[in-house]
Amino acid sequence: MATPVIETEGLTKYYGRSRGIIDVSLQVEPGEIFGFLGPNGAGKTTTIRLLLDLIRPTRGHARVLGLDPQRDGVEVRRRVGYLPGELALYPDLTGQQVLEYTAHLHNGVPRGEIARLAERLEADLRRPIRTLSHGNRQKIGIILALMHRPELLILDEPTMGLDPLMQQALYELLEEVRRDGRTIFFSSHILPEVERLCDRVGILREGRLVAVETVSDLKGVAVRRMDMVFERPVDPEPFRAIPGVREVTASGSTLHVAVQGSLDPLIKAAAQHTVLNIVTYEPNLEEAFLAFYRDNGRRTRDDRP
Amino acid sequence: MLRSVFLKTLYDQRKAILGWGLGLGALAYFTLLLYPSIQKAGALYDQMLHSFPPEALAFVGNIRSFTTMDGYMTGSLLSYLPLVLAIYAIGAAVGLITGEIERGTMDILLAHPLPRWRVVLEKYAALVAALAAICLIFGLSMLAGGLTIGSDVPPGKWLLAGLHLLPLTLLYGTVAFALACAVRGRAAAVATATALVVGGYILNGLVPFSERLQPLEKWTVYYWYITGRPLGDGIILEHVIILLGGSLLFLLIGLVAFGQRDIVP
Repeated sequence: MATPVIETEGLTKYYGRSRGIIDVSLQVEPGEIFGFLGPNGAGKTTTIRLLLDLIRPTRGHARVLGLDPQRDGVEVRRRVGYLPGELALYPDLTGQQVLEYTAHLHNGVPRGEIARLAERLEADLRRPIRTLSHGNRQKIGIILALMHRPELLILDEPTMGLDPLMQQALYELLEEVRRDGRTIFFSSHILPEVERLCDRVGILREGRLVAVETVSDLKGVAVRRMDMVFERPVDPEPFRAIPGVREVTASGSTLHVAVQGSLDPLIKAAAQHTVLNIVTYEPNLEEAFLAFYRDNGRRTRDDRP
Repeated sequence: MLRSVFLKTLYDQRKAILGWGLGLGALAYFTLLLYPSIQKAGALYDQMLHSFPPEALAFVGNIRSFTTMDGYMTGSLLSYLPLVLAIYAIGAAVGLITGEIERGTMDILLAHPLPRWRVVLEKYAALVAALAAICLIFGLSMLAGGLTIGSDVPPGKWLLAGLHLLPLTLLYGTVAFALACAVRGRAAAVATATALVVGGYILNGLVPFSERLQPLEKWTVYYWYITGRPLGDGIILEHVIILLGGSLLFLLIGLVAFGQRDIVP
Protein backbone atom coordinates (compact mmCIF):
# COMPACT_ATOMS: atom_id res chain seq x y z
CA MET A 1 0.00 0.00 0.00
CA ALA A 2 1.20 3.48 -0.80
CA THR A 3 2.39 5.72 2.01
CA PRO A 4 -0.51 7.75 3.33
CA VAL A 5 -0.34 11.41 2.37
CA ILE A 6 -1.39 12.40 5.85
CA GLU A 7 -1.00 10.17 8.85
CA THR A 8 -1.57 11.18 12.43
CA GLU A 9 -1.24 9.04 15.51
CA GLY A 10 -2.64 10.07 18.84
CA LEU A 11 -2.21 13.67 17.78
CA THR A 12 -3.04 15.84 20.75
CA LYS A 13 -2.82 19.56 21.29
CA TYR A 14 -3.61 21.58 24.36
CA TYR A 15 -3.28 25.35 24.48
CA GLY A 16 -2.28 25.68 28.08
CA ARG A 17 -5.23 23.99 29.69
CA SER A 18 -7.74 24.48 26.96
CA ARG A 19 -8.40 21.64 24.61
CA GLY A 20 -7.35 21.74 20.98
CA ILE A 21 -7.58 18.15 19.80
CA ILE A 22 -7.24 14.86 21.64
CA ASP A 23 -5.85 11.61 20.26
CA VAL A 24 -6.64 12.20 16.64
CA SER A 25 -5.48 9.28 14.51
CA LEU A 26 -6.30 9.32 10.84
CA GLN A 27 -4.91 8.46 7.45
CA VAL A 28 -5.49 10.19 4.17
CA GLU A 29 -4.63 8.11 1.13
CA PRO A 30 -2.99 9.43 -2.04
CA GLY A 31 -5.45 10.80 -4.55
CA GLU A 32 -8.47 11.07 -2.32
CA ILE A 33 -10.49 14.04 -1.24
CA PHE A 34 -10.85 13.85 2.48
CA GLY A 35 -13.43 16.03 4.17
CA PHE A 36 -12.90 17.14 7.69
CA LEU A 37 -16.20 17.90 9.33
CA GLY A 38 -17.20 19.40 12.58
CA PRO A 39 -18.75 22.46 14.10
CA ASN A 40 -16.71 25.53 14.88
CA GLY A 41 -14.36 24.95 17.76
CA ALA A 42 -14.18 21.19 17.23
CA GLY A 43 -10.48 21.36 16.42
CA LYS A 44 -10.36 21.29 12.63
CA THR A 45 -8.11 24.31 12.37
CA THR A 46 -5.90 23.04 15.17
CA THR A 47 -5.35 19.80 13.27
CA ILE A 48 -4.50 21.65 10.08
CA ARG A 49 -2.09 23.98 11.86
CA LEU A 50 -0.34 20.98 13.37
CA LEU A 51 0.10 19.44 9.92
CA LEU A 52 1.78 22.62 8.70
CA ASP A 53 3.97 22.97 11.79
CA LEU A 54 2.47 26.33 12.68
CA ILE A 55 1.87 24.82 16.12
CA ARG A 56 3.48 21.83 17.84
CA PRO A 57 1.72 18.81 19.25
CA THR A 58 1.43 18.22 22.98
CA ARG A 59 1.48 14.47 22.30
CA GLY A 60 1.42 12.14 19.35
CA HIS A 61 2.79 12.82 15.93
CA ALA A 62 1.89 13.58 12.37
CA ARG A 63 3.45 12.70 9.06
CA VAL A 64 2.73 14.60 5.88
CA LEU A 65 3.85 13.10 2.56
CA GLY A 66 5.80 10.64 4.66
CA LEU A 67 7.74 13.44 6.35
CA ASP A 68 7.79 14.87 9.84
CA PRO A 69 6.37 18.42 9.59
CA GLN A 70 8.54 19.56 12.48
CA ARG A 71 11.84 18.21 11.18
CA ASP A 72 11.28 18.44 7.45
CA GLY A 73 8.92 21.39 7.47
CA VAL A 74 10.53 23.13 4.53
CA GLU A 75 10.20 20.08 2.29
CA VAL A 76 6.63 19.46 3.46
CA ARG A 77 5.60 23.02 2.77
CA ARG A 78 7.25 22.98 -0.64
CA ARG A 79 4.83 20.23 -1.64
CA VAL A 80 1.71 21.39 0.17
CA GLY A 81 -0.70 24.16 -0.72
CA TYR A 82 -2.54 25.79 2.14
CA LEU A 83 -5.56 28.02 2.40
CA PRO A 84 -6.09 29.26 5.95
CA GLY A 85 -9.58 29.47 7.41
CA GLU A 86 -9.24 33.10 8.29
CA LEU A 87 -7.30 34.23 5.31
CA ALA A 88 -5.24 37.34 5.88
CA LEU A 89 -3.28 38.98 3.08
CA TYR A 90 -1.22 42.14 2.97
CA PRO A 91 -3.88 44.83 2.63
CA ASP A 92 -1.75 47.40 0.82
CA LEU A 93 -0.49 45.06 -1.87
CA THR A 94 -2.45 44.16 -4.97
CA GLY A 95 -3.41 40.56 -5.59
CA GLN A 96 -0.70 40.43 -8.24
CA GLN A 97 1.93 41.67 -5.77
CA VAL A 98 0.87 39.19 -3.09
CA LEU A 99 1.12 36.35 -5.58
CA GLU A 100 4.46 37.55 -6.93
CA TYR A 101 5.83 37.73 -3.41
CA THR A 102 4.63 34.29 -2.39
CA ALA A 103 5.76 32.84 -5.73
CA HIS A 104 9.25 34.10 -4.89
CA LEU A 105 9.01 32.39 -1.52
CA HIS A 106 8.40 29.19 -3.48
CA ASN A 107 11.42 29.96 -5.66
CA GLY A 108 9.09 30.45 -8.55
CA VAL A 109 5.94 28.72 -9.77
CA PRO A 110 5.10 27.16 -13.14
CA ARG A 111 4.82 29.78 -15.84
CA GLY A 112 1.34 31.05 -16.56
CA GLU A 113 -0.19 29.19 -13.62
CA ILE A 114 -1.22 32.36 -11.79
CA ALA A 115 -2.84 33.81 -14.89
CA ARG A 116 -4.63 30.53 -15.65
CA LEU A 117 -6.06 30.24 -12.14
CA ALA A 118 -7.00 33.91 -12.02
CA GLU A 119 -8.94 33.48 -15.22
CA ARG A 120 -10.70 30.37 -13.97
CA LEU A 121 -11.77 32.09 -10.77
CA GLU A 122 -12.32 35.49 -12.37
CA ALA A 123 -10.01 37.02 -9.80
CA ASP A 124 -9.07 40.68 -10.04
CA LEU A 125 -5.36 40.86 -9.37
CA ARG A 126 -4.88 44.55 -9.99
CA ARG A 127 -6.71 45.95 -7.01
CA PRO A 128 -5.21 46.30 -3.53
CA ILE A 129 -6.34 43.54 -1.19
CA ARG A 130 -7.81 46.21 1.10
CA THR A 131 -10.43 47.08 -1.51
CA LEU A 132 -11.53 43.52 -2.25
CA SER A 133 -14.64 41.83 -0.90
CA HIS A 134 -14.20 38.75 1.25
CA GLY A 135 -15.03 36.47 -1.64
CA ASN A 136 -12.54 38.15 -3.94
CA ARG A 137 -9.83 37.87 -1.33
CA GLN A 138 -10.66 34.21 -0.96
CA LYS A 139 -9.99 33.80 -4.68
CA ILE A 140 -6.49 35.20 -4.22
CA GLY A 141 -6.02 32.77 -1.35
CA ILE A 142 -7.09 29.85 -3.51
CA ILE A 143 -4.66 30.84 -6.26
CA LEU A 144 -1.97 31.15 -3.62
CA ALA A 145 -2.64 27.61 -2.44
CA LEU A 146 -2.73 26.11 -5.94
CA MET A 147 -0.18 28.04 -7.98
CA HIS A 148 2.84 25.86 -7.22
CA ARG A 149 0.90 22.72 -8.16
CA PRO A 150 1.19 21.05 -4.75
CA GLU A 151 0.84 17.32 -4.24
CA LEU A 152 -1.38 17.92 -1.27
CA LEU A 153 -3.88 20.70 -0.81
CA ILE A 154 -4.94 21.61 2.69
CA LEU A 155 -7.92 23.91 2.64
CA ASP A 156 -9.61 25.30 5.72
CA GLU A 157 -13.21 26.13 4.83
CA PRO A 158 -12.36 27.01 1.23
CA THR A 159 -15.80 28.03 0.00
CA MET A 160 -16.48 30.43 2.83
CA GLY A 161 -17.65 33.72 1.39
CA LEU A 162 -17.77 32.56 -2.23
CA ASP A 163 -20.96 33.04 -4.18
CA PRO A 164 -22.57 29.86 -5.50
CA LEU A 165 -21.13 30.33 -8.99
CA MET A 166 -17.62 30.62 -7.63
CA GLN A 167 -18.20 27.68 -5.36
CA GLN A 168 -18.95 25.64 -8.46
CA ALA A 169 -15.81 26.93 -10.13
CA LEU A 170 -13.80 25.91 -7.09
CA TYR A 171 -15.40 22.45 -6.99
CA GLU A 172 -14.41 21.97 -10.62
CA LEU A 173 -10.87 23.06 -9.86
CA LEU A 174 -10.67 20.63 -6.98
CA GLU A 175 -12.04 17.80 -9.07
CA GLU A 176 -9.32 18.57 -11.61
CA VAL A 177 -6.72 18.38 -8.90
CA ARG A 178 -8.00 14.96 -7.94
CA ARG A 179 -7.97 13.79 -11.55
CA ASP A 180 -4.26 14.68 -11.55
CA GLY A 181 -3.86 12.16 -8.76
CA ARG A 182 -3.20 14.81 -6.17
CA THR A 183 -4.72 14.76 -2.71
CA ILE A 184 -7.04 17.21 -1.00
CA PHE A 185 -7.72 17.56 2.68
CA PHE A 186 -10.32 20.13 3.46
CA SER A 187 -12.42 21.17 6.37
CA SER A 188 -15.97 22.24 6.01
CA HIS A 189 -19.26 22.51 7.70
CA ILE A 190 -21.17 22.79 4.47
CA LEU A 191 -22.59 19.32 3.99
CA PRO A 192 -23.69 19.34 0.38
CA GLU A 193 -20.16 20.24 -0.71
CA VAL A 194 -18.77 17.40 1.35
CA GLU A 195 -21.29 15.02 -0.18
CA ARG A 196 -20.39 16.21 -3.62
CA LEU A 197 -16.63 16.23 -3.38
CA CYS A 198 -15.40 13.86 -0.76
CA ASP A 199 -14.47 10.22 -0.88
CA ARG A 200 -14.22 9.97 2.85
CA VAL A 201 -14.96 12.20 5.77
CA GLY A 202 -13.65 12.43 9.28
CA ILE A 203 -15.95 13.85 11.88
CA LEU A 204 -14.45 15.84 14.68
CA ARG A 205 -16.34 16.58 17.81
CA GLU A 206 -15.01 18.43 20.80
CA GLY A 207 -11.47 17.69 19.76
CA ARG A 208 -11.91 13.99 19.14
CA LEU A 209 -12.21 12.19 15.86
CA VAL A 210 -15.49 10.36 16.35
CA ALA A 211 -15.79 8.72 12.96
CA VAL A 212 -14.06 8.24 9.67
CA GLU A 213 -16.45 7.00 7.03
CA THR A 214 -16.83 6.89 3.33
CA VAL A 215 -19.47 9.30 2.20
CA SER A 216 -21.64 6.43 1.00
CA ASP A 217 -21.42 4.71 4.39
CA LEU A 218 -22.31 7.92 6.09
CA LYS A 219 -25.35 8.18 3.90
CA GLY A 220 -26.14 4.60 4.99
CA VAL A 221 -26.36 5.58 8.62
CA ALA A 222 -28.18 8.72 7.70
CA VAL A 223 -31.65 9.09 9.03
CA ARG A 224 -34.14 9.06 6.18
CA ARG A 225 -37.42 10.79 6.60
CA MET A 226 -40.54 9.65 4.84
CA ASP A 227 -44.27 10.27 4.81
CA MET A 228 -46.52 7.25 4.24
CA VAL A 229 -50.03 8.01 3.18
CA PHE A 230 -52.52 5.21 3.87
CA GLU A 231 -56.07 4.73 2.76
CA ARG A 232 -57.26 5.10 6.33
CA PRO A 233 -55.57 5.99 9.65
CA VAL A 234 -53.28 3.27 11.01
CA ASP A 235 -52.00 2.52 14.47
CA PRO A 236 -48.43 3.94 14.73
CA GLU A 237 -47.51 1.69 17.64
CA PRO A 238 -46.38 -1.44 15.70
CA PHE A 239 -44.22 0.77 13.48
CA ARG A 240 -42.29 2.03 16.47
CA ALA A 241 -41.07 -1.49 17.16
CA ILE A 242 -39.54 -1.95 13.71
CA PRO A 243 -35.71 -2.08 13.77
CA GLY A 244 -34.15 1.16 12.56
CA VAL A 245 -37.24 3.25 13.03
CA ARG A 246 -36.39 6.25 15.12
CA GLU A 247 -39.52 8.26 15.18
CA VAL A 248 -43.16 7.83 14.21
CA THR A 249 -45.89 10.45 14.35
CA ALA A 250 -49.35 10.11 12.94
CA SER A 251 -51.48 12.84 11.46
CA GLY A 252 -54.72 11.74 9.91
CA SER A 253 -54.03 8.83 7.63
CA THR A 254 -50.39 9.81 7.22
CA LEU A 255 -47.42 8.49 9.20
CA HIS A 256 -44.26 10.58 9.38
CA VAL A 257 -41.39 8.19 9.92
CA ALA A 258 -37.67 8.65 10.51
CA VAL A 259 -35.71 5.52 9.75
CA GLN A 260 -32.05 4.70 9.82
CA GLY A 261 -30.52 2.05 7.60
CA SER A 262 -32.53 -0.48 5.62
CA LEU A 263 -36.07 0.41 4.65
CA ASP A 264 -37.11 -3.18 4.06
CA PRO A 265 -38.76 -4.06 7.41
CA LEU A 266 -40.66 -0.78 7.36
CA ILE A 267 -41.92 -1.27 3.81
CA LYS A 268 -43.02 -4.82 4.60
CA ALA A 269 -44.96 -3.61 7.63
CA ALA A 270 -46.55 -0.81 5.65
CA ALA A 271 -47.60 -3.29 2.94
CA GLN A 272 -50.05 -4.88 5.37
CA HIS A 273 -52.16 -1.76 4.88
CA THR A 274 -53.31 -0.08 1.74
CA VAL A 275 -50.63 2.43 0.84
CA LEU A 276 -51.62 5.40 -1.31
CA ASN A 277 -48.31 7.17 -1.46
CA ILE A 278 -44.81 7.25 0.00
CA VAL A 279 -42.80 10.44 -0.06
CA THR A 280 -39.13 10.10 0.90
CA TYR A 281 -36.72 12.91 1.58
CA GLU A 282 -33.12 12.60 0.46
CA PRO A 283 -31.04 11.84 3.53
CA ASN A 284 -28.50 14.49 4.25
CA LEU A 285 -25.25 14.34 6.06
CA GLU A 286 -26.44 16.84 8.57
CA GLU A 287 -28.73 14.20 9.99
CA ALA A 288 -26.04 11.56 9.80
CA PHE A 289 -23.86 13.99 11.58
CA LEU A 290 -26.40 14.50 14.29
CA ALA A 291 -26.87 10.76 14.59
CA PHE A 292 -23.20 10.45 15.43
CA TYR A 293 -23.57 13.16 17.98
CA ARG A 294 -26.58 11.57 19.61
CA ASP A 295 -24.55 8.42 20.16
CA ASN A 296 -22.10 10.50 22.14
CA GLY A 297 -19.34 9.67 19.74
CA ARG A 298 -19.07 6.06 20.85
CA ARG A 299 -20.40 4.14 17.93
CA THR A 300 -19.51 0.48 17.68
CA ARG A 301 -19.49 -1.75 14.63
CA ASP A 302 -22.69 -3.44 15.87
CA ASP A 303 -24.65 -0.29 15.43
CA ARG A 304 -24.01 -0.39 11.76
CA PRO A 305 -27.04 -1.07 9.69
CA MET B 1 10.84 44.85 -4.50
CA LEU B 2 8.93 41.83 -3.28
CA ARG B 3 11.51 39.18 -4.01
CA SER B 4 12.24 38.12 -0.45
CA VAL B 5 11.07 38.57 3.11
CA PHE B 6 13.94 41.02 3.62
CA LEU B 7 13.02 43.22 0.67
CA LYS B 8 9.30 43.02 1.38
CA THR B 9 9.88 44.07 4.99
CA LEU B 10 12.11 46.94 3.95
CA TYR B 11 9.54 47.97 1.34
CA ASP B 12 6.89 48.07 4.08
CA GLN B 13 9.13 50.35 6.15
CA ARG B 14 9.86 52.82 3.35
CA LYS B 15 7.52 55.54 4.58
CA ALA B 16 8.64 55.15 8.17
CA ILE B 17 12.29 55.36 7.15
CA LEU B 18 11.72 58.58 5.25
CA GLY B 19 9.45 60.05 7.91
CA TRP B 20 11.75 59.33 10.82
CA GLY B 21 14.92 60.11 8.91
CA LEU B 22 13.69 63.45 7.58
CA GLY B 23 11.85 64.33 10.80
CA LEU B 24 14.84 63.81 13.04
CA GLY B 25 17.07 65.21 10.31
CA ALA B 26 15.09 68.47 10.24
CA LEU B 27 15.43 68.69 14.00
CA ALA B 28 19.20 68.30 13.69
CA TYR B 29 19.40 70.79 10.82
CA PHE B 30 17.55 73.54 12.66
CA THR B 31 19.37 72.83 15.88
CA LEU B 32 22.61 73.39 13.99
CA LEU B 33 21.33 76.66 12.49
CA LEU B 34 21.09 78.02 16.03
CA TYR B 35 24.64 77.09 16.87
CA PRO B 36 26.39 80.28 15.68
CA SER B 37 24.21 82.54 17.84
CA ILE B 38 24.58 80.24 20.84
CA GLN B 39 28.30 80.20 20.34
CA LYS B 40 28.33 83.99 20.32
CA ALA B 41 26.43 84.14 23.58
CA GLY B 42 28.49 81.17 24.78
CA ALA B 43 29.61 82.50 28.12
CA LEU B 44 26.02 83.06 29.18
CA TYR B 45 24.98 79.50 28.37
CA ASP B 46 28.02 78.02 30.02
CA GLN B 47 27.28 80.07 33.14
CA MET B 48 23.79 78.61 33.18
CA LEU B 49 25.22 75.15 32.62
CA HIS B 50 27.59 75.51 35.54
CA SER B 51 24.85 76.75 37.84
CA PHE B 52 23.40 73.21 37.75
CA PRO B 53 24.78 70.73 40.28
CA PRO B 54 27.52 68.88 38.37
CA GLU B 55 25.89 65.54 39.13
CA ALA B 56 22.81 66.56 37.18
CA LEU B 57 24.79 66.97 33.98
CA ALA B 58 24.79 63.23 33.41
CA PHE B 59 21.29 63.72 31.98
CA VAL B 60 22.76 65.76 29.15
CA GLY B 61 25.78 63.59 28.58
CA ASN B 62 28.08 65.25 31.13
CA ILE B 63 28.89 68.07 28.76
CA ARG B 64 31.18 70.75 30.12
CA SER B 65 30.47 73.46 27.62
CA PHE B 66 27.78 74.56 25.22
CA THR B 67 30.19 76.35 22.98
CA THR B 68 31.92 73.33 21.49
CA MET B 69 30.08 71.51 18.72
CA ASP B 70 30.24 68.28 20.72
CA GLY B 71 28.90 69.92 23.86
CA TYR B 72 26.19 71.78 22.02
CA MET B 73 24.94 68.88 19.90
CA THR B 74 25.19 66.31 22.68
CA GLY B 75 23.48 68.55 25.21
CA SER B 76 20.69 69.69 22.97
CA LEU B 77 20.06 66.61 20.84
CA LEU B 78 22.30 63.57 20.81
CA SER B 79 21.98 62.77 24.51
CA TYR B 80 18.28 62.03 24.28
CA LEU B 81 17.81 61.25 20.58
CA PRO B 82 18.18 57.48 21.02
CA LEU B 83 15.17 57.61 23.32
CA VAL B 84 13.13 59.17 20.55
CA LEU B 85 14.39 56.83 17.86
CA ALA B 86 13.71 53.93 20.24
CA ILE B 87 10.00 54.60 19.69
CA TYR B 88 10.46 53.65 16.07
CA ALA B 89 12.84 50.78 16.78
CA ILE B 90 10.57 49.13 19.34
CA GLY B 91 7.38 49.73 17.38
CA ALA B 92 8.84 48.39 14.17
CA ALA B 93 10.49 45.40 15.84
CA VAL B 94 7.30 44.30 17.53
CA GLY B 95 5.27 44.99 14.41
CA LEU B 96 7.51 42.81 12.26
CA ILE B 97 6.76 39.73 14.34
CA THR B 98 3.70 40.26 16.53
CA GLY B 99 2.00 42.50 13.98
CA GLU B 100 2.37 39.87 11.30
CA ILE B 101 1.11 37.14 13.63
CA GLU B 102 -1.85 39.17 14.84
CA ARG B 103 -2.82 40.18 11.32
CA GLY B 104 -2.75 36.53 10.37
CA THR B 105 -0.29 36.97 7.51
CA MET B 106 2.38 35.03 9.39
CA ASP B 107 0.32 31.92 8.57
CA ILE B 108 0.76 32.53 4.88
CA LEU B 109 4.43 33.33 5.29
CA LEU B 110 5.22 30.22 7.34
CA ALA B 111 3.18 27.99 5.08
CA HIS B 112 5.88 28.56 2.47
CA PRO B 113 9.06 26.55 2.19
CA LEU B 114 11.15 28.80 4.44
CA PRO B 115 12.63 27.71 7.73
CA ARG B 116 11.46 29.85 10.60
CA TRP B 117 14.98 31.03 11.41
CA ARG B 118 15.22 32.45 7.95
CA VAL B 119 12.03 34.46 8.33
CA VAL B 120 13.35 35.85 11.62
CA LEU B 121 16.78 36.66 10.18
CA GLU B 122 15.43 38.35 7.08
CA LYS B 123 13.03 40.46 9.09
CA TYR B 124 15.79 41.37 11.51
CA ALA B 125 18.13 42.30 8.68
CA ALA B 126 15.40 44.60 7.37
CA LEU B 127 15.09 46.20 10.80
CA VAL B 128 18.85 46.81 10.90
CA ALA B 129 18.78 48.26 7.40
CA ALA B 130 15.82 50.51 8.19
CA LEU B 131 17.42 51.86 11.36
CA ALA B 132 20.74 52.33 9.60
CA ALA B 133 18.99 54.24 6.83
CA ILE B 134 17.30 56.56 9.34
CA CYS B 135 20.63 57.17 11.09
CA LEU B 136 22.28 57.85 7.75
CA ILE B 137 19.61 60.37 6.75
CA PHE B 138 20.06 61.95 10.16
CA GLY B 139 23.82 62.13 9.64
CA LEU B 140 23.36 63.64 6.18
CA SER B 141 21.02 66.26 7.63
CA MET B 142 23.66 67.19 10.20
CA LEU B 143 26.19 67.40 7.41
CA ALA B 144 23.85 69.75 5.53
CA GLY B 145 23.40 71.83 8.66
CA GLY B 146 27.15 71.88 9.25
CA LEU B 147 27.78 73.09 5.70
CA THR B 148 25.07 75.75 6.02
CA ILE B 149 26.64 77.33 9.09
CA GLY B 150 30.16 76.83 7.74
CA SER B 151 31.22 74.49 10.52
CA ASP B 152 34.74 73.09 10.41
CA VAL B 153 33.60 69.59 11.48
CA PRO B 154 34.69 67.23 8.68
CA PRO B 155 31.84 65.54 6.74
CA GLY B 156 32.80 62.05 7.89
CA LYS B 157 32.27 63.03 11.52
CA TRP B 158 28.69 64.11 10.88
CA LEU B 159 27.90 60.81 9.25
CA LEU B 160 29.67 58.97 12.05
CA ALA B 161 27.59 60.88 14.59
CA GLY B 162 24.46 59.76 12.75
CA LEU B 163 25.51 56.12 12.57
CA HIS B 164 26.66 56.21 16.18
CA LEU B 165 22.98 56.21 17.13
CA LEU B 166 22.56 52.82 15.54
CA PRO B 167 24.15 50.39 18.04
CA LEU B 168 22.11 51.64 21.00
CA THR B 169 18.78 52.02 19.22
CA LEU B 170 19.33 48.68 17.54
CA LEU B 171 19.83 47.07 20.93
CA TYR B 172 16.58 48.63 22.17
CA GLY B 173 14.86 47.32 19.05
CA THR B 174 16.45 43.91 19.33
CA VAL B 175 15.28 43.44 22.92
CA ALA B 176 11.74 44.17 21.75
CA PHE B 177 12.25 41.93 18.70
CA ALA B 178 13.47 39.00 20.77
CA LEU B 179 10.55 39.25 23.16
CA ALA B 180 8.11 39.55 20.27
CA CYS B 181 9.62 36.34 18.90
CA ALA B 182 9.23 34.61 22.24
CA VAL B 183 6.01 35.84 23.79
CA ARG B 184 2.49 36.18 22.45
CA GLY B 185 1.06 39.68 22.31
CA ARG B 186 2.74 43.05 22.29
CA ALA B 187 2.62 44.01 25.94
CA ALA B 188 5.64 42.10 27.25
CA ALA B 189 7.92 43.16 24.41
CA VAL B 190 6.95 46.82 24.41
CA ALA B 191 6.96 47.14 28.20
CA THR B 192 10.34 45.47 28.72
CA ALA B 193 12.08 47.39 25.97
CA THR B 194 10.55 50.69 27.06
CA ALA B 195 11.62 50.03 30.65
CA LEU B 196 15.15 49.48 29.40
CA VAL B 197 15.09 52.71 27.40
CA VAL B 198 13.55 55.01 29.99
CA GLY B 199 14.83 53.23 33.09
CA GLY B 200 18.34 53.02 31.70
CA TYR B 201 18.43 56.71 30.86
CA ILE B 202 17.11 57.81 34.23
CA LEU B 203 19.36 55.41 36.12
CA ASN B 204 22.35 56.63 34.17
CA GLY B 205 21.45 60.18 35.19
CA LEU B 206 21.13 59.21 38.86
CA VAL B 207 24.39 57.30 39.12
CA PRO B 208 26.49 60.42 39.97
CA PHE B 209 24.20 61.14 42.92
CA SER B 210 24.87 57.89 44.74
CA GLU B 211 27.87 55.64 45.15
CA ARG B 212 25.56 52.71 45.60
CA LEU B 213 24.19 53.04 42.09
CA GLN B 214 27.67 52.94 40.60
CA PRO B 215 27.72 49.16 39.89
CA LEU B 216 24.51 49.53 37.87
CA GLU B 217 25.93 52.13 35.54
CA LYS B 218 27.09 49.70 32.90
CA TRP B 219 23.81 47.80 32.94
CA THR B 220 21.91 50.90 31.92
CA VAL B 221 23.07 50.13 28.38
CA TYR B 222 22.81 53.86 27.69
CA TYR B 223 26.25 54.24 29.30
CA TRP B 224 27.89 52.46 26.38
CA TYR B 225 26.42 55.00 24.02
CA ILE B 226 26.90 58.31 25.79
CA THR B 227 30.56 57.63 26.54
CA GLY B 228 31.30 57.78 22.81
CA ARG B 229 31.64 61.28 21.34
CA PRO B 230 31.72 61.22 17.55
CA LEU B 231 31.84 65.04 17.40
CA GLY B 232 34.35 65.33 20.23
CA ASP B 233 36.93 62.86 21.46
CA GLY B 234 35.64 60.22 19.11
CA ILE B 235 33.67 57.04 19.49
CA ILE B 236 34.87 54.16 21.65
CA LEU B 237 35.00 51.06 19.52
CA GLU B 238 34.86 48.64 22.47
CA HIS B 239 31.62 50.25 23.63
CA VAL B 240 30.11 49.99 20.19
CA ILE B 241 31.09 46.34 20.08
CA ILE B 242 29.52 45.71 23.47
CA LEU B 243 26.24 47.22 22.25
CA LEU B 244 26.33 45.20 19.02
CA GLY B 245 27.21 42.08 21.02
CA GLY B 246 24.14 42.68 23.17
CA SER B 247 21.99 42.85 20.05
CA LEU B 248 23.52 39.63 18.76
CA LEU B 249 22.72 37.90 22.04
CA PHE B 250 19.09 38.98 21.95
CA LEU B 251 18.82 38.08 18.28
CA LEU B 252 19.94 34.54 19.12
CA ILE B 253 17.37 34.36 21.91
CA GLY B 254 14.71 35.49 19.45
CA LEU B 255 15.78 32.94 16.85
CA VAL B 256 15.63 30.04 19.28
CA ALA B 257 12.37 31.16 20.85
CA PHE B 258 10.61 31.71 17.53
CA GLY B 259 11.70 28.31 16.31
CA GLN B 260 9.95 26.66 19.21
CA ARG B 261 6.80 28.62 19.68
CA ASP B 262 3.26 28.05 18.49
CA ILE B 263 2.04 30.57 15.98
CA VAL B 264 -1.35 31.53 17.36
CA PRO B 265 -2.98 34.75 16.19
